[in-house]
Amino acid sequence: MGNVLARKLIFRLGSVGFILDLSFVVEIREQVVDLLDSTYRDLDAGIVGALDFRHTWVPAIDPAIRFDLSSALPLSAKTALILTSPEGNWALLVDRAQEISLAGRLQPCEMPAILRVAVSDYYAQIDLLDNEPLVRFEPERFYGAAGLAS
Amino acid sequence: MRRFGLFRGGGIDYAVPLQRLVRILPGERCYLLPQLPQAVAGVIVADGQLIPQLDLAKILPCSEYQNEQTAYQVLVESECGTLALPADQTCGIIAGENGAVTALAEGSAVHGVSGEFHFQERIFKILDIDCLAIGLIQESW
Repeated sequence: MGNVLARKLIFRLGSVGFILDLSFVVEIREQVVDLLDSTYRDLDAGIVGALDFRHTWVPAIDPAIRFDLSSALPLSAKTALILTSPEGNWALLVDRAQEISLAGRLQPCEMPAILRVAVSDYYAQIDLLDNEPLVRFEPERFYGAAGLAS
Repeated sequence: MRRFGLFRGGGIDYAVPLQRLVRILPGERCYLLPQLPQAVAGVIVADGQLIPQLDLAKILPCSEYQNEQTAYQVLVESECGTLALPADQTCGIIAGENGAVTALAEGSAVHGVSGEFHFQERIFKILDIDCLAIGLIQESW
């Protein structure tokens, strides 16, 4: 388990890079076109459909909506990161799962005070990887009791 | 003696009071982050620190700046921390007495611009760095 915690998944939404603890990731599905049913939607909660994961429907959430990021990819071309949470599994739709990186390669970087208030509802921490700032993704802000309440 | 750093970015000439000028970096990449204030184009990384890069098109409405990589990043110090301004060209550091400082024409006030510096037949908008920083925090754009 210690090894998993020490590794991070790097994914992209448009040009923006994000970091996710690998401990949250159950599986990565690169082909979702036949798995996604977009008739189940709750856009206020960021839910853009239901995804068939091992014969169970799990909510599929597009974080680009909440982050207000544009993407050239249609939903059907996205990659699904199946994540675990206390409320059960859910699918995070991203443009690309880029790589798994050792946590030691990341350099924590303080958010400038002048920007902190503007982004505080969405993320709190940035890490640098090869001098590129990556947003530390916090799944609980997007799914589960805390995420839905915000 | 009042001195200005003079720059050109996005088709606009602008001046920064010398005491606010921290550093000029060549060609640092600007990275987009989610949910930044409207007047911020992205962030640059300098010495492991994130520095917000202001969007000239939001500050100076007639700017042609398109958030592309620029030749220089001009780092300036505000009361709220360091900010970066994109520049395509540096035009030197000039003493105020070598040109003429004028107020903006009545009815042409622009948030974050305190006046104009006329130098060698060019007009440089004088940026009020603290006003820009405070406006950024207040999301006044």
